[in-house]
Amino acid sequence: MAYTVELEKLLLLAEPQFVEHVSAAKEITEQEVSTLIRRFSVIHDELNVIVKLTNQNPPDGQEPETHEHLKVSAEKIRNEVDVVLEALQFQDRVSQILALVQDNFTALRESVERIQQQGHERHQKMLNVEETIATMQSQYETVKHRHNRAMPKHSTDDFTLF
Amino acid sequence: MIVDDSASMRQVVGIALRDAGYDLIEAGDGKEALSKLDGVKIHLIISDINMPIMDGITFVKEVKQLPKYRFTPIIMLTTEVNPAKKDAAKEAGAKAWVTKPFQPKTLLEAISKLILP
Repeated sequence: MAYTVELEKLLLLAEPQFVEHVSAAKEITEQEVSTLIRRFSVIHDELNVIVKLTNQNPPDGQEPETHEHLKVSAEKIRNEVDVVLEALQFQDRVSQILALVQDNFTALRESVERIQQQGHERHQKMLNVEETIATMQSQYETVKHRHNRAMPKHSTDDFTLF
Repeated sequence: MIVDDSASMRQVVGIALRDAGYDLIEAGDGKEALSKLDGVKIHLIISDINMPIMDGITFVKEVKQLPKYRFTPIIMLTTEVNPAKKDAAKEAGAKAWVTKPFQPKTLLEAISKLILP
């Protein structure tokens, strides 16, 4: 019983720290990705301006080939930036996984607190370990499945009109 | 309007839409979005599903109760793969479903089918 009490204490003390660390990880990655997106957005906008300008006739004195080359280069770089911006959407999935970890730790703590309130009448059957693990596993599988679905390049499921 | 709890996702959607000439209002969850609607002219709403405070499907149902926004088309932009969620979104009144990660041209295609330029 003393061991159980200590185990409960460990979980109840450790959970807020786990949740805090996970929350910090979420916030930091969100901020960093947000900064990256902002920077790429500026590059993207400047390239749009170049492409727009090069769609007009070349200025006097500029070789048409140079003008065309500049246009092609700008478009190519802009398309690459678009690919990067698309890839940075990974942050959304990272946030989902971290949110799941947070929620599961919190749910575990709440379960232990509820059981702890039973005092000396608490017993092992109050915490259904297999069911808890199965639920967590199922949630992680769902998120993993979403992630795996995102990996192949653009299936026909991308867009549905109802 | 873009409703998504991920700031980086709202940025990426913003870049795609502003490129195409659209203006954007942002919200981090369904409740915040409802408070921002408040009589403002909105041509289309793009909403995530899994959000804190108020999820996307509940948000769609709430929007459909508002006389001014009953007919505003709503696109769900989500990583969800659960067919039941897709059915629920359709049942709630969403008009389209776009999966993340998305290509800007896919989202813009969805928008072009729902609102006049």
